Amino acid sequence: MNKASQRKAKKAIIMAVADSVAIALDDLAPGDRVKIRSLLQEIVGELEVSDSVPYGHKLSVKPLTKGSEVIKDGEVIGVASQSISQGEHVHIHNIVSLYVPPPRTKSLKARRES
Amino acid sequence: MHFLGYERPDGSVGIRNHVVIIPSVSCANEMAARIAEQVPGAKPIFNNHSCSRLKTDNDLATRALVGLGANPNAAAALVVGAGCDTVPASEIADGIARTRKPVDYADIDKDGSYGNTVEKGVVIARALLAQAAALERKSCSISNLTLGMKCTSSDTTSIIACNPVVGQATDFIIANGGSAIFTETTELIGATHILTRRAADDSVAQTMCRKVEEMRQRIKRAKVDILRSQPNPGNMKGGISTIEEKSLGGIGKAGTTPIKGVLEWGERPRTKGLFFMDGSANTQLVIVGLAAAGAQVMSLSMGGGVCARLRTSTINTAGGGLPILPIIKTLSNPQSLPEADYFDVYVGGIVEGRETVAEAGKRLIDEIIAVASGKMTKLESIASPFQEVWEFYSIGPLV
Repeated sequence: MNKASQRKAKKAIIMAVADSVAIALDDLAPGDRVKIRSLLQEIVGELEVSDSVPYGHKLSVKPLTKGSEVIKDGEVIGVASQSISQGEHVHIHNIVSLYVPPPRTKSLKARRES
Repeated sequence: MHFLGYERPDGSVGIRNHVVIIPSVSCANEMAARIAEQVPGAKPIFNNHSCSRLKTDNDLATRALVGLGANPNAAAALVVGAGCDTVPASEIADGIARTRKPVDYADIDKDGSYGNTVEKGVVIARALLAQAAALERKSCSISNLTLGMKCTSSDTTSIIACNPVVGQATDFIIANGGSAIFTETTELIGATHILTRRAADDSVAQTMCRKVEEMRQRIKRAKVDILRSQPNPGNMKGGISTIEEKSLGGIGKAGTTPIKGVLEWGERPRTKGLFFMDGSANTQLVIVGLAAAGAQVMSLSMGGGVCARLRTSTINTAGGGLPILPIIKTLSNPQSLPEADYFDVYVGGIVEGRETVAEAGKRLIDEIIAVASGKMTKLESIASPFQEVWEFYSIGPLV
C-alpha cells in the first residue's frame, strides 16, 4: 500500500458533471486522494492531487491544454494560460479571463470575434 | 402573503418608519449632524455630494437625494442645505414631496444664518418625528416589497450556497407580485448570454448588453489588469479566479424570473418584477442606489474570509448601515462559522450537504418577512460609534 492511499480521502465538489474543475472542500496537499461529489452529494469521481489547493479553490479534474476553455457549472470561467494537468490547482496563475484579459495578453475573445 | 408595514400616502409601504435628515450637499453634513444630535431618533444620511461635478453627475446625485427621501422606509424627511449647492435643498424637498409624505427644508441662504438653519431644522425634525410616531404597522401584501441584492466578500461557497439561496428569495418576492433589483454592471461581464435569455423583450436584452459592454470598454481603456479589482484580493483568496467566474456565480442572486427592465443608478422601477440597475459593484454605491430606487429591504450574501470577521461587514454598514435600507446578511463559508452570530442567515450547511438550497431559501424568505414586519437585522442591532458618509455614483470627470 503506498503512502497516498493510506491518507484519508479529502473532499471536493463538482458543480456540473462535464466541468473541468472541482472545488476543494478541504485544504489539499500533493499526493492527497480526493473524492469528488456532485451538488447532490453523490460521489462522481476520485483523483490524486498534484498541488497544494486551499479550501474553496479549484482543482482540475482533467488535463487542459494551453488556450482551452475552463468550464465550471457548465459555463466558461476563463481560458488556460498554460497547460494544466489533472489534480493541479486552477487559479490566477494558470487561467485568465476571456472577457477582460490582462492588458498585454492578446485578447482571445477579440481574436474570436474578428 | 403578508407582512406588517407602514402605508405611505403614495401607496407605497415602508418596513421602517424613519425620519431622515438629508444634507443636499456634503457641506451641510455637519449641520445635519447638529440637528440629529438634538433630535434623538432622527436619522441623518451623510453623503459625499459636492461641487466640482458635471451636470450628468449632479443629475445622478439629485435622483439619489430625492430617492433616499422618497424611499418608503422614510416616514418623513428634512433636507438641509447651504444655499449655494449645485442641487438646492428646495429642489430635493420638492422631489420628495411628490410622494405626499411630510417633508421640509432649511438652508442658510433662506434661513439667514448657520444658527437659524440648525434651529429651524431642529424644530422641523421634532415635528416630523411626532407625526411619524403616530403611524402604525398594518397588514400589507408582499407585492409591496422591493428586494435589493448584492453579494460581497464572494468566494466559491457564495456561488454554491449564498447566491442560489438569495435567488430563491428573489423568485418568491416576484411570484408574490413584488419587485427585486440586482445591479453591479461589471459583475455581468461573462454572464450576459444567460441573462439576455431571460430579458422580457429585445430592448431589455440590448440595453443590458450595452451597459455591460460600456463598462468593459471603460475598464479596457484604463489599460490595467482588472485582477485585484474584480475579482478583488478577498475573492481571489476565496478561490475566484476571473471576473466571469464571479459574474456567473453572482447572477444566482437574481433567481429565474424574466428581467423586466434596465434601470439607471438610483432609478425607481415603474412596474413590478425583476430589474437590473446599472452601476458600480462598490457596496456603498449599491446600497445607496438600491435605496434611492425604492428598495425597502436588501440581501447581502457573503462568502466568508477576513471580511466576514469585520462584523459590521466589509462595507461601511456600521451602526445599522443606511437607516432606510435594512440589510439581511447571509453567510455561506463553513470556515467562517465562528462569525455566524453576526449574520442573519447561515447557509454553510448547503456546502456540507446538510441542507438543500430550497430549505435554506425558505429560512431566508421567513427572515425577510420577519424583518419587513419589524424584526431588527443583525446590523441594525449593532450600535457603533462610527457614522457613515455615503458615496454617490459618478461617471466623472471631477472638474
